[in-house]
Amino acid sequence: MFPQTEMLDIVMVDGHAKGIITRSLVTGKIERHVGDAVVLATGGYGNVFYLSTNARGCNVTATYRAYKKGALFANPCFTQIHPTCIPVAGDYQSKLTLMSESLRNDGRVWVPKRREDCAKPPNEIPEADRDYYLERKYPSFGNLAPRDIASRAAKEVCDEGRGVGPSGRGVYLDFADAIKRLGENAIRERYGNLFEIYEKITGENAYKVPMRIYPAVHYTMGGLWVDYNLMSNVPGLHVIGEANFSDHGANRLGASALMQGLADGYFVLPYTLPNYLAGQINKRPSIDHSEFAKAEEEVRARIQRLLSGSGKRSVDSIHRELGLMLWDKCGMARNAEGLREALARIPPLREEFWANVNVPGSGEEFNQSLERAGRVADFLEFAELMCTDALTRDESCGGHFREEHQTPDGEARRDDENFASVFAWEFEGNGQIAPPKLHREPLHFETVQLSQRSYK
Amino acid sequence: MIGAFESRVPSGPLMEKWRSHKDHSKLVAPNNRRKFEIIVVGTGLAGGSAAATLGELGYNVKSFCYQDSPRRAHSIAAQGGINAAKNYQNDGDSVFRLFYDTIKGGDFRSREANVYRLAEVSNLIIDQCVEQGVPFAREYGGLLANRSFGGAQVSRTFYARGQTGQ
Repeated sequence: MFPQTEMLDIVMVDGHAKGIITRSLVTGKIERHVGDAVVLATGGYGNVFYLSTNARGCNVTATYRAYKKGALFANPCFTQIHPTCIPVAGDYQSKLTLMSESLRNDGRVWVPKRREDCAKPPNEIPEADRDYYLERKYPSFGNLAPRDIASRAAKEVCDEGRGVGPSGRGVYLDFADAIKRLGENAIRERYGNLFEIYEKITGENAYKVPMRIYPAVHYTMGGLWVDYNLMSNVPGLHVIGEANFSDHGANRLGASALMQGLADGYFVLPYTLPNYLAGQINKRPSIDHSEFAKAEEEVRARIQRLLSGSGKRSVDSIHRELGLMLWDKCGMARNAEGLREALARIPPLREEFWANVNVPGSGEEFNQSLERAGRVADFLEFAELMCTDALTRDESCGGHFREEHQTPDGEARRDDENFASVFAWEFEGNGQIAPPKLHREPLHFETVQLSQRSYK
Repeated sequence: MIGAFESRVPSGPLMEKWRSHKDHSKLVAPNNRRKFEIIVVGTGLAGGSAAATLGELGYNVKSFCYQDSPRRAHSIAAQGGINAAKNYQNDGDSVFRLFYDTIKGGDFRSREANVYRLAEVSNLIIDQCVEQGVPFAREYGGLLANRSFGGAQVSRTFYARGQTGQ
């Protein structure tokens, strides 16, 4: 067990993944680790948006470095915006807090029908002046419409000027009916700790006044491409959980992430890993192999480069700038023009980072600025891949909503003829950044009928 | 490109693919397993369960995380719960329905075979977790409780208050 140890590169020997290079976050020591196979379970890349419900440390580094060593990255533009999070309070916030989707079992989502009512205390808005928009638009699924749909609906009513709270970017999640029906104790039993978290952060008692919520980045369906054995195209490199792309398509349903993580780890990988290992007995390379030395050298050089800058900007200021741009251009709704703009703005921001970032301290010690700088440097490259994918996928599906492709009532319109496929991107450019190469895996549906998704 | 870009989805009817794949997969004998070193990066639910299971099978596992302790991986922040097609509520659920809801929820952009396998093993996960002592919510009579999540018209989510990931 190696805690406080970050993987900074993957080592390829004769085209197989046979080890990793790590850095101790406590002492800064760089180490080589050799193995017969490498399993990445390194989670998603939601923090590319700067603000998300992910923990602050979540990052794309492990999967992105694997991508740069030849693993294909699939569907990076499939990101999930969760509808029920505590709204952004100000510019200096560093993370967002999720309020579980399960609350929508008993909470009802609404905004005032009229803009003029938005500033009124919610209790003073009579029933007749409230718009329970999810129940109105999707009567059969109601408040339990899937996440991408519920998020877009919230954005829509806020764009109409009917959002609530100081920023105008919020909707109510109201438990009054459920409390009347079941009593406060029943609600406390089901969601007590969530109400506590909410009160700690907002100072409001959600048993008395409705919660205010707004969508936020939560999960990423895209990830490294894997086959049915959960092995990437790189022999030996296996990818499980949120880090791979395999099970959730363009939108994940609630309570499916734990299901996938545990399914992969307990019940799938242990059966499929031997398909690779069986041919690898006694083939583990020596830790002194030249590929290990080379990878270690690269990692050291990169850390030196990060530390050598004497610029003026903090790592976080650049990360925040990147995140806001992506939220704006590659968030809940995207269009070709905005994506092209983002693609034009990312390279100069990356140059600005390398020219003008200030990373204090040294590499041989506990240095959180250095850790973050390394992760943000990868986000700055990954963001370009994500926007390229979003621009190339010229259709709407799930969480990927291209404004050009919608039905008359504003739902996502897929283009199955041209896009019923996985987009798997190959890094090209020999260490430098170059346009990635697209490979398509056609999706064959033998059992289900492709249909326009309807939750009405 | 390094390696191969083949999905390796087994042939045969959807419902039998995983079983048949398991039956025809290669094996590593117990006395050979200890010769292998497996590097697992990440200690969330996926990395943690993989490292534990591979270790139990007899492989040497090296497990890495950047957090202070593996318990601090982000999976523990999961609030809502975990789906499984147990149909304890007798409200019409089945493996097929969980599969269909998931593939439809993903707007038909995932692999049928992978999603079906996920729905199929979902029930094993609940059994495994209960055996391990996960304090899932229960009804007054002692049976496991469920609630609903988005995109489903049945109650199939097992939960431990608002902190299931713990």
